[in-house]
Amino acid sequence: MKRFLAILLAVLLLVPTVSVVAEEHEPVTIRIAWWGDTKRHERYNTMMDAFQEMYPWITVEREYGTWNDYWDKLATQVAGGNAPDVMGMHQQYAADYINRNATLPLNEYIDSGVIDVNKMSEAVLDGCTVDGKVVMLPIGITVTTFLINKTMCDELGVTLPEYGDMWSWADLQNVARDFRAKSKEAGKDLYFMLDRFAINEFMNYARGKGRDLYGEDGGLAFTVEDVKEWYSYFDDLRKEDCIPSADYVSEQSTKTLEQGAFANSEIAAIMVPVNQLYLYVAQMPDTELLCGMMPTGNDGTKDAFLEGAHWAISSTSDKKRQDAAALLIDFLENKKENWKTMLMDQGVPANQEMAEYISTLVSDIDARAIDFVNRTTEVVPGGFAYPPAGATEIKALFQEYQEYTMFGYSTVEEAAEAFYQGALEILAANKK
Amino acid sequence: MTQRIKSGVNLSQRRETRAGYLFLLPWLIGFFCLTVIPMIASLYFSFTSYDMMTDPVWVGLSNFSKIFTSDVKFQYSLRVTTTYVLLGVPLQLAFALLLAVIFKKDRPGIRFYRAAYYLPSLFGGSIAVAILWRQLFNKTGVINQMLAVIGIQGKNWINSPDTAIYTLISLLIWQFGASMVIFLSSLKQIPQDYYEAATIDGASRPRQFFSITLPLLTPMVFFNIVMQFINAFQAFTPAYIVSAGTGGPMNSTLFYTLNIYLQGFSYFKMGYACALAWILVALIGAFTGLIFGTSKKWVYYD
Repeated sequence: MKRFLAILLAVLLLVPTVSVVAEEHEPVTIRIAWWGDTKRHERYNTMMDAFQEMYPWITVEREYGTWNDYWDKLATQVAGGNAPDVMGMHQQYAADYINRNATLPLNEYIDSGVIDVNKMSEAVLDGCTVDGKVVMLPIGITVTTFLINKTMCDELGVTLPEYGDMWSWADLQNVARDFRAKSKEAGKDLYFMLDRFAINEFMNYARGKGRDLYGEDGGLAFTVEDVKEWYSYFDDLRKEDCIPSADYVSEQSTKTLEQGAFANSEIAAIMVPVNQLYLYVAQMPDTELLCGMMPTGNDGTKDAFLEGAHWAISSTSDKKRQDAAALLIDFLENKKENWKTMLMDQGVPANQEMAEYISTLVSDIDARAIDFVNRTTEVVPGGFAYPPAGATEIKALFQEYQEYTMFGYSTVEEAAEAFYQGALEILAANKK
Repeated sequence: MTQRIKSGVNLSQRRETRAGYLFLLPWLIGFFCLTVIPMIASLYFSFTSYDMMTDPVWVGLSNFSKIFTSDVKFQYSLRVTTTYVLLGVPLQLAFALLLAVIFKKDRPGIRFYRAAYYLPSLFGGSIAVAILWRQLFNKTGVINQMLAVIGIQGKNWINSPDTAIYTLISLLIWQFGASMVIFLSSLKQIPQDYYEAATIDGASRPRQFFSITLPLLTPMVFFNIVMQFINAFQAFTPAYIVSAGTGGPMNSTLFYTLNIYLQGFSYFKMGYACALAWILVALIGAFTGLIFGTSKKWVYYD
C-alpha cells in the first residue's frame, strides 16, 4: 500500500510537469540543407546532434550534397514550395532567392533577442542587409587566397613574394612567365597557373582598378575595357605559351579537388577560399603551400572582400518551424557547443567571441587560415554591392566568352563586347 | 419480374464498371497528375514570365518572339541537337542492322555475342557510362593510348569544342542494342524461300540484301527511326555529365534539353524554359509527322 501510494504520488507529480513541457514546447521537426564534402557532412551531423541535445523538442532533418547538386536541388525545392526551413546561402546565388522573397527577414528574431548578433561586426551585418532587412547571417568569414605550391617553385628557383607581401597583377604575370621559362630550362613541361574565369576573380581585378562588378543601383560597375584587359591578360600568356592549352584548362572544371591539376602538382598556383586550406594540405602532405595575397591593382590599389556561406530561413515555412529555425541559427552562430565542432570549416566565425574561442582549438593549418583572413581584412575590410537578379546567368556568360578567346574562336575584343552587351541585356530582362 | 432482372444486370454492370475504373485509378492518377496537368500548366507558363518563386506574369508571345529573334543559345542548342540526332540515329540504326545480319545465323556461342552487344543499350544512357566516356576520350584516355600504338597523337576529344559533340554521338551509336534485337527478330521472320528463289536466279548476296531483306525490314526500320529520333531529341544525361552541366566547352555540347534545364533551374526563367520545351514538342511532332508522311513511299507491308 505504501508503495502504491508512493507510485501514485510520483505519477501525480509528473502529470503537471509533463503537460507544462508539452504546452511550452510542442515537438517540432525542421529541415536544414547545406552543401559540402564528406568531411563537412560528418561535422555538421555532429553539430545538429548537439543542437537536438540542447533543444530536445526540436528534431532536425538534414539534407546535403555537393555544391552543384545543392543549388540544383534548392532551386527545385523552393520552386515547389518545399524549401528546407534553414538553408545554406551564398553571395553568388543569394540574389536569386532574396530578391524573390524566398527567405524570411530575420529582424523580428534579432530584435526579440532570439538570434544574438551583438558580437558581429557592422561590416559583416551590412553585407547581409537589404533595404533594412537582415536576409541571412554569415556562418564564417573567408577571403580568397592565391594558394601557391612553394615546393615546386623552390625547385625551379622561381622567386615568389613572401607571405603577406603584396604583388600586382603585372607582377603575377611575370611570375607565370618566369616559372614557364625556368620549367623549360629544367626540361619540364609545367605551367604556373590556369586561366581564371570565375567572375569573382575578375571582380577582384576590377576593384583593383577602383571599379566593381555591380553598383549600388544594381547595374554593371565595370567597363568593357576592363573585360578586354582581363581576357587579354590570359590570352597574352597563352600566346607566349605561359599557360596550358585551352582543352586542358576546360577539362579541369569537371574535376574534383583531389583530381585537379593543383592537388596533383601539375600547376603551381590556384585561387581558392582560404578556409579550404586544410583540404589541400590533407591532399598534399609533403608539399609546402604558401597562402599568397590576391594581386593588387597595377598602381598598388589594395583590395579584398569578405566571402562565405550564410544561413537563411525559408519564407514559406510555418511560424512554428520558423521559430525553431531561428533557435537553430542562433545555436549555429553563437554557441560554443557548435563551434567546437565547426571550427574553421566555413572560415572565421562571424561572432568575434567565437572566433577567439576556436583560435585555441584549431590545428596549425587552420590557425594559418585564420591569420590570413585577419591579415587580409586588416588591409581593406571591404564589403561589396549586393548582386542583382540575373547575376547567375551573367557569371555563366562571363566564363563562356572567355572560353571563346581561350580556344581562339573569337578575339578578345569581340568576346568582351559580346559579353558586355549580353550582361546588359540580362540585367534589363530581370528588371521588370 | 423483368424489371428486377434488368436492374440486377444494371447493378452488376455498374459494379463492374466501377471496379474497372478502380483498377485504372493508379494509372489515371499518374497520367493526370504527372503528365496532363503539368503539360497544361507548362503551356500556360510559356506565355508568362515566371521565376518559380513569385507569381507568373502574363507576357503573351514575347518569350517565343525572343527565342526566334535574338536568342543565340537557342540557335546553338538547336544546332547541337540536330547534329546529334541527324548523324547519330541513322548511324546507330545502320550499325544495328549490320550486326543483326551478322548475328542472324545460329552459330555456336552466338547467344553470348547477341547478349554482349545488346548490353550497352541497357546502361548506355546512365551517369556511370557518361563518366566513363569522359575518361575514354580525354587527352590521356584509352582511345588516345590506342591511337598512340599506331603512331597517331590524339587530341583531347571531349574537351575540344570541335570534337566534343562527336564523342557524344559515338555514345549514342554504341547504344544500338535495342534496335538490333528488333531487327533480329524480324529478320528471322523473312521466309527462307525468297532467298532460295533469289539464289536460283543468280542474285548476289548484296543484291539479296537490298532487294529482299531491306524492303521486308522497312516496317521495322520505320519503327526504329521514329522511336530513336524521339529519344535522341530528348537526350540530356550525357551532355549534362560530360560538360559538368554547362554545355561547354563553348556550347559545343549544349543539348536542347540542357539549355531548357539551365534556363529554368539555373537562371530561374521557367516561363522561358517552358516556351523552349513547347518548341521542342512541336519540333519532334513535325519530325515524326515528316517520317510518317514519307513512310508510304518507302515502307512496304506484306
